[in-house]
Amino acid sequence: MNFSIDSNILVASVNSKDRLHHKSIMIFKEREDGKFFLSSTVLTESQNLFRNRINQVVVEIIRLLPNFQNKRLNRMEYQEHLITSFRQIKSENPGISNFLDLVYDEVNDFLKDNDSFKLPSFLSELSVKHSQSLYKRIDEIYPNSGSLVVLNHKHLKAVKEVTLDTYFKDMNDERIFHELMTNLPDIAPIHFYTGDSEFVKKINKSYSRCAKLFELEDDSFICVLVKN
Amino acid sequence: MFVMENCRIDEFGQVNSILNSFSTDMFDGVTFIVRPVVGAIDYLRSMHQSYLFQKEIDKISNFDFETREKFMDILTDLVVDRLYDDEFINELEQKIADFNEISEIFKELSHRKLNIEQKQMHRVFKLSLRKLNGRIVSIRDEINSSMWDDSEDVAQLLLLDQLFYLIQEIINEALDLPPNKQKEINDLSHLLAYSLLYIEAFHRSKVSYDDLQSFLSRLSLCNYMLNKNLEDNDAIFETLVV
Repeated sequence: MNFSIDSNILVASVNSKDRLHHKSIMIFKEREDGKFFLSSTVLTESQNLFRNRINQVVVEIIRLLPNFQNKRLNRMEYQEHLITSFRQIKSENPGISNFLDLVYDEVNDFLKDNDSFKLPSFLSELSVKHSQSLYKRIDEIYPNSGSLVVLNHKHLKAVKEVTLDTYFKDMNDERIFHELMTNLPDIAPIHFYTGDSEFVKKINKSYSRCAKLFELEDDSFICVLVKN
Repeated sequence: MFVMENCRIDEFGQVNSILNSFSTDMFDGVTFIVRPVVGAIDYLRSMHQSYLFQKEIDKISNFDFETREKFMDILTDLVVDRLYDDEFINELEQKIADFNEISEIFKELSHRKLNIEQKQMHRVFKLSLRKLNGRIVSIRDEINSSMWDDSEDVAQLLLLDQLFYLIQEIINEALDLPPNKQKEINDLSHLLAYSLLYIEAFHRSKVSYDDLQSFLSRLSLCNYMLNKNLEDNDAIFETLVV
């Protein structure tokens, strides 16, 4: 049986502290023999979330740097100020201590051969590289090649017509739904896993009309709510 | 009426300011990609080939601001509501062909007019990419400088910088390819053109900030696929709990 997942399940699968982590990993284990179809919106939404969280930390670090950047400090004094700044951020964000330690080490390595003025650019690049760990984790959780599902414009108009009365408050939810439905003939039969009960309600309201549109059985698409 | 009046004057002030300050570089960047001979004119002069293009390149240098803006405005329409695909470059060339003010000039600048061997053509492409990279280095230096200013929105500047960083990574990937991989170099060049135009589309309010973020994620995925030797660390995922 083919399977697909929502952003909350994808994020939960890579984050061991997420309440749905264990359940999310089980989905991949139980569906090992099935083909994995990942909506491109799920992937970009998850990556956006992850990168923005890392960027938030980077913004905090950059915010504290100017306090000592322009002072005439020798390397030891600069180091001291850097330690104090990181300690301050750690005390305000105890949940990301290990991440801050990692970034601190990387900043120190950078400063060995580079001017501190370039720290914002360096931290920016670091954020991109670290956020790509999401992709690496997905590869590890599901090493068999999955498929990325993008919107099939050929079927979009027809799908929209049969689901006219379904309103998605969240634009990403609507895109995910359209990506799956416009590709239904190619991905069915499929189970879609989400931790969002509202999304389940919306999908269940309209997916059967899409199945009918493509002359598929009603159970060609099953939406599963994943609870803690 | 200057097309620039359609450019952002909303909550993305600093991003807008930087893109305004480097509008010529963005135009030049797109030109270097779609017509690499423009970036390699000095090399072509040394090969006694510049006479083929000098007149047209002089005309491009003399384009007024309005013509350049109109050119970018027309091309940025191509990236709205579409993902990058194989058809993109054909449609871009069609847009150029349909733009009366420049179509003849760009037609004359096609590198196919060059009667030189593959290795030297490869050199032309590389030189243009290096020139593009140089422009992006300047843009990133400006963004870096802005990020030191407390009053600026650093999160927005980070997004812009990360886009240009990933564009540089694509350039580096293309520069590393040998002459017999011209098809792959072309593919990467087309992606570069799309990427620069996507940033300009945001500048012109044709795509939203959310769209820009999603585009950054897609570029990041391309970058990850090209270099899968990433070092992972559990600590990074702590940020998801924040």
